[in-house]
Order: sequence, then C-alpha cells, then structure tokens
Amino acid sequence: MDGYNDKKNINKDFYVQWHFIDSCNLRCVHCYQNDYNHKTLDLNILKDIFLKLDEAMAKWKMKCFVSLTGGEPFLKPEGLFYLMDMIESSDNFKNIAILTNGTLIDNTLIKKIKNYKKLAEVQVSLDGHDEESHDGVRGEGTFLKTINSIKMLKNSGIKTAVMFTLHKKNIGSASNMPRLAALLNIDALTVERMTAMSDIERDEFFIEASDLKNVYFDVYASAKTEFKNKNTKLSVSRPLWNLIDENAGGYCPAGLSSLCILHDGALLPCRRLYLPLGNILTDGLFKVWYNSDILWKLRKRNGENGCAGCSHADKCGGCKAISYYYNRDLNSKDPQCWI
Amino acid sequence: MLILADTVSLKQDEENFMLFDNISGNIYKLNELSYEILSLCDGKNTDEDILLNITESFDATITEAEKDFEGLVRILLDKKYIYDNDNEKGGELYEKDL
Repeated sequence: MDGYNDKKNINKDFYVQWHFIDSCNLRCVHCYQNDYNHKTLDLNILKDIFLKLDEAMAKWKMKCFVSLTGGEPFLKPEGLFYLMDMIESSDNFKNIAILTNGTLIDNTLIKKIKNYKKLAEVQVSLDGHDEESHDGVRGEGTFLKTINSIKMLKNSGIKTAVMFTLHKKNIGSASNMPRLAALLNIDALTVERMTAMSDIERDEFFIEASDLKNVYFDVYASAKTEFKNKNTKLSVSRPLWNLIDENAGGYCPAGLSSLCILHDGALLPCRRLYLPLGNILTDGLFKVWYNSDILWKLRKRNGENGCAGCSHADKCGGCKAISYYYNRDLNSKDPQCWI
Repeated sequence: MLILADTVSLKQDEENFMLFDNISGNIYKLNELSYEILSLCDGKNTDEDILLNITESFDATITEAEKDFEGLVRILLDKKYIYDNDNEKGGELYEKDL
C-alpha cells in the first residue's frame, strides 16, 4: 500500500466512483446492478458519506476525483446537486465527473451543472454505433435520446466523453465507435470491457483474448484515422491497452488509489468487482482501507501476481475484476490478455 | 497484561511494519522490534514474556530490550493505543506504572 500520511502522496489524486443512487430508468442487458428499486434518496446518508470521504482526503492530504453515478444520477437531480454543492465547497475534492446514460438530460439540467467549477466532464454511455446496436443493449429509443444529449452537452461547452462497454453482443460496433465519436466531436472515447460476473454472463458476453486483440487493434487504428486533426481522444489508460501501444495503458488503481461507494455506503474495490469491503458509514473509511484483506491482496504487485515478470506489468497488470470472475483469483492473469 | 486497543491494527506487508489508527486515520511506520512487541500485546503475554521473546528473537540484552519496550509502551499508553487489561476500570484506561 502506498504510505498515506507520506509527503509523496500530497496532492495526489484519489479516485472515487460514487453510486449515490441505485434507481435507474433503463435495464441494460449487461448491467452490473441487480436492484433497481426506486428508493427515496436520503440526503443525510449522502452527507455522512461525504464527510467521511472529506475527512480521509484531508488526513491523507490527497485530492479526490469523484465520479457521481448510479443507477442513473439524473433520475434524482436533487441528490446530484446536493452532493455537487458539498464537493464544490471542499478543498479536498479536485474534480467531479458525472456518469450517465444520457436519456434524462435537458437544457435546464445542463445549465445548472455548468455552474460547477469542479465539473471535469460528463461521461455518457453509448453501447453501439447506431440505433440498432445501442438500443439492442439499452432499450428502444435510447440511442436517439443519448445522441441528442451528447450534442446538447457539447454545444454547452461541457467536456463530454463517451463510454462504450464492450462485450460479445456489441463487438461489431466497436471499431465504428471512433467514427461516431469524431462526428459528435466529443472530447474522449473510452472502450472498456464488460466484466462477466457469472457463468451465464460469460457464455453470453465474454470475448476471447484473440478476438479482443483484433478489436483493440481495430479501434486503435480507427481512432488514429478518425481523430486526426480533431480534439477527440481515445482513452487508453486502462489495462491491456499497453499491449497495443507501449505509451498507453495503466495499472488498475483498485486498492491503491481508488474505491467504489454504493448508495448505502457499502464499499467495493471497484463497481465491477462485487466484493463488499465494509460500509463507510458504520466501519469508517480508515478501518476498511487499512484492514481489508481484499485490498491488501489487490496491492500485491509482485510474487503472488500472475503478471509478475511480464514486461507490461507496470502499465497493465490486467483487469482485477475480470481475472477474479474468470479464475476466482484477483491476482491471476487477465483471461483476455493475448500475450 | 498489555493489550492492543481495538481502535488500532497492525500490519506487516513485505518489509513494511505498520500501526494503523482506524479512528483518526494516522499511520505509523514501525521497526520490526516495535512491531514484534505490539504483536505480543495480546492480553495474555506478561511484560516478562514479551521481553523474553524479543531478547531471543532480536539477539538483544535484557537491558536493551527493557529500554525499547518501556519507551514504546509509554508512548502507546499515552496515545491509548494499548492498555493494561489488569488496570482497566469502568472503561477508563489507566497508564501502566512503568
């Protein structure tokens, strides 16, 4: 574990993905979420979670980059703005991103979120390059709504990114995504693999390593062409991209400098790795961060790690969630790694 | 007998020895000797047991071990990171007479 309280961490980023609401208006085929109950949002719980996070960032002298999401965050904008107000006024928080399906955004909401100085970007999920492919994943009529939202966000001057969650059902769309991203003039496109969390999901969604290699190469090549002389970038900071470009990729920060918080305060290493670590409200963040065996296992970068010895290990290390669900071992080799 | 407070925890990770304050968030980097002493503060080992153990493990004289032990214990009692379970009364912690 990095030694927090150390001078070397001062002002470094700590990433939190905060699913402050579990309700969603969509039922996407690949979604990690099981419970879509439209519960009342408890602002006191949100405040208590915020205060715990704020305290930890102050103690560690780190700056929190927080992604606010759900469920669908714009389903309860009052909760979203309540959190953004608190985050905006804290010196311990650096930036905010909003992760949304883009179906509920309108100009009134855009006008309001634009007021937040810490808003770094809005990331919109787009799971296909056309109506048929996207709606096949996210439901009828969603493609046009989402595209419209992306255009509104871009027109307002808000940095707008697209997240494409790649799996077997939309693999044919992947290499077309850079063209769509360029047409929409978005700021960044992320192509990230879905985590199959069960045998059923594996059969339905999992892409074999050799196929993934082809997709990543195609997406990379397409982005190079489509984004030429554009401000759009392909986000390649995640594991396996280093196998495509030695300057790209990144080691998974789960357990090192990132954490996921669910609406009720439950803590996970990552939203795609459903291994509850504790609850920020009842356990506190320090106790969980310092004592969780799961987090300590994630911090193993040598010896017990299946990527130890690989020349790409420093900027890759594979996806811990995909490795876990495939091999039941967090530190095993990523099953989609093709080398 | 000395016992670690339940608000703190010890961790050894490879060559690093750490004491965590799970309430305030403070982290203390320990040397191996301090870590060993604290690991033995389980409410069962007597001071003599701990001293004997560390003199054997670290090839130290009783005088050297006592000095390190008493210095560390004094600091940690003061911070309420350890307490003497013989002296605990009504939830109040009493500093061990060193």
